[in-house]
Order: sequence, then C-alpha cells, then structure tokens
Amino acid sequence: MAIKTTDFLALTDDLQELTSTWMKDKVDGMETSNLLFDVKDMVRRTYDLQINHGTAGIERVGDGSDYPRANNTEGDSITYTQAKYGVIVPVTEDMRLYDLYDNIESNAKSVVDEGMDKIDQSLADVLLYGQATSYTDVYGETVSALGPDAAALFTSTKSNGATAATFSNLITNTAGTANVALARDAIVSERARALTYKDVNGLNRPIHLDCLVVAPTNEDLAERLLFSTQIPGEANNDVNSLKGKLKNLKVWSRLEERSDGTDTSAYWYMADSSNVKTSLKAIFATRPQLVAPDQVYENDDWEYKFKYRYAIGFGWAPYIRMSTGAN
Amino acid sequence: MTIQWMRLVAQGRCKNVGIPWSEEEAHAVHALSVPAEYVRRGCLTVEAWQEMKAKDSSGEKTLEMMTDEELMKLCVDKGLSVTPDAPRSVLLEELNKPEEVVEEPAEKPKKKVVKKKAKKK
Repeated sequence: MAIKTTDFLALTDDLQELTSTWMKDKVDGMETSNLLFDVKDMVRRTYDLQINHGTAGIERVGDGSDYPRANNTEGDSITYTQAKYGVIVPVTEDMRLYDLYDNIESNAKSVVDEGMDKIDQSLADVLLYGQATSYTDVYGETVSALGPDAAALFTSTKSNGATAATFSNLITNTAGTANVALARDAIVSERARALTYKDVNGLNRPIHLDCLVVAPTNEDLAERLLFSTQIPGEANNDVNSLKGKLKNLKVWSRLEERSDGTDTSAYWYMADSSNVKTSLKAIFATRPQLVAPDQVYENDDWEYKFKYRYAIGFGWAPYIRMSTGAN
Repeated sequence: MTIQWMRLVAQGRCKNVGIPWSEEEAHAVHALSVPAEYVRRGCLTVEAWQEMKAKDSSGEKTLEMMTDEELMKLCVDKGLSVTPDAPRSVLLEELNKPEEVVEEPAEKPKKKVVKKKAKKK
C-alpha cells in the first residue's frame, strides 16, 4: 500500500503496521533465547524470585497415627529491577513533503532492528558472561552477573542456601577437566553426571540434558556428534549412542561474539529444555513498541518513540551447563 | 538486581557485602571445608587454617574470631550506639577504628583590661 503524505493518520498506521511486521520477524529470529529464557510479562517495578527446593517428609504412617507435615525447603532469593530503554525517531517535515518513503521506512526499521538486537544480545550475554561476576552490558552499563547465591551463573561450587551441599554446572569430561572443547567425551560425561543429580532434600532428580547450544563455528562438529549413526572420527563403526538423545541442536549466532567483541565461538552449552526456564528469566514490564508520533510544533517533525522495559537474570541453575572450550 | 548479602555473609557464602568469593576462596570454603571466617582472613588451605587456628587459641581472641553477639557486647562496652541491624562487617569496622583523642583547645591569654583614669578637670 502506498503511503500518502496527505494522510497523517494513514501514514502513522502504515508505519506502525510495517514496524510491527518487522518486529515479528525479529522476534521469530530470537528462537534460541525464547527456548532458553522464561520470557514473561509483569508490570512491577521489581520482581522477587524466591527459590524453593521443594517439600519433603513422606513417612510410613501407622494405624491411628497422624500424617506428618511436609517441610518446605527454602533457598535464596533475588530481586530484579526493571530498567527502561528507548529512543525517539524523527520523521522530518522534509521526508514527508518530498515523499522520502525509503528514508522513513529505513529509520523506523533500523531502530526496531537495534532494539531487538540489543535485547537478544543482552540475553546471550547472560550466558556468555556466565563465569564472570560483573560486565558491561550492551547499553554500556556495568551490571552484576551474580545470582542469588552470590556466585556467577556457572561455577564449580553452586550453593543452595539450605544445606552445605554444592554442585557444579561446568561441563566436565571423564577426566574431570572443565571448560573443555566441544567433544563427544564431554557430552557423554556431563549427561551422565546430570542424570545422577540429587536435589537439596537428597532425592535423586535426574536432569535430562537434551539440548546442545553452540555458535555457528561449532555447527558442523555438533551435527556430526549428535546425528551420525556411527561415532564420528573412529574406524571401528561403533554405534553413536548420542544419536536421538539430544534432540535439540541450537546454533545461536549471538554466541560467536560477546557484546565487548571477545571471540566466544568455542563456548558451548547443554540444557534441559523442559526445565531451563526455571533457571533463566527475562521479565518485560513493557514489550518493545513503536508509539505513534506527536507533531512537534517548532519544526513539524513527527517523533516516533521506540521503547521497552525489562529485567534479566537467573535463579536456581542446575538445568543449564557451560564450557568455554578453552581446554 | 538485589541479593540477600547479609544472609549470604552470615552463612559464609560470600566474602563480604558486595564481594563474592574468588574461585580459590570458594574452593577453600566448599571443597576443603575451611571455615569462612578463616578464608576471609586469607587461609586458602587446610594447613594455613590449622596454623592460624593454633595461633588464635594460644593468644587473645581477635575481633575476627568473635561471634556477632560478642562483637555487639564489645561495642556496647565501648559506648558505641549499635542496633542488632548492624551487619558484622560494620561492627568490625567500628571496633577497628582508632579511638579519637579530642584535644581541648588551649586557653586564650586574657587581655589586660586597662582602666582609664578619669581626667581631673
């Protein structure tokens, strides 16, 4: 549909339509972050995340005896505060007068691009800075990378706040070495370790690491490791037992480079796709939106406002594991 | 984001308010079971902990080794106004402050008052 300069409202609607379609495409492109993060809406300035490690206390009950009460095991808590982001995009009087539709479209599209890019990269940075205690985010702010246990997302000593037990969410190979390069041995070893995971109450809670997340650099190797019928790179035609067990292979372009430009192409992650959202959170108070413009009296420009509010973070994190691939 | 630093400090799960354990310190606390108070004082191995522990038991109990209640009592004895809300790190900071000696300003020399004699007419 052609945009006519004679109709202020129509142009506004068209631009809204165009940017919302564009935004939808961008959101579809955020498939991996949507898979890993619990993206939800909550209009609160702060979001309190209380970690509960479940209830326990089932006992054999004798005839005539009272049933025992279950005890809830409470862990740590963390509060996330919403932050506001946005920009004003002007459509000048000249743009409208001389029908510079390309410029108008380009301005609107590129600002949506930037916003969605920053949101997606900020989510990727939670994983890419997973072994740091603080970092500079995509908006240039120094942010804490600590979780409710005052530790980085990925460490060898994750504590729970209820008992002295700890666990590691660093991927290790059979020799016990952490931060190893993507390899079959490390995947097999970590899957086995996750399946014998015990929760805070001492109950066996197998974690099924069924998702492998890699940067494009490791795509070829990952596909061969997971989907070959036989073990890749071996001469004895042994069966590849991983085939069919890790059903999700996510190649996330964001993992190739951190927002500070560091090459992170060797980083790789394993996740339990059905539970990982309990670990990673993205809470929106305002979803990204392009607000219809007001006409500025002094210059007759139209000022579109692109804005959003969100908070990101993580809670209890045994459902996602990391390796930097450095060793 | 805000985390419960006071609780984490009390549970020995971070070095201090706003300061997480380093990798070596976390290993000493969680893997080697060195008490957090000793790790905060620099012990990263079991040997270093035992050595410091022996030294502590032979001498006077240091502030760092006192319980929160003992620190609170000491503050009260010293005449400091503290409430139970004060975190351990603040109590330690207050007790470690050197006592200020306020010197009284020296007395200014009195000006001599010269009485003018009334002139006799």
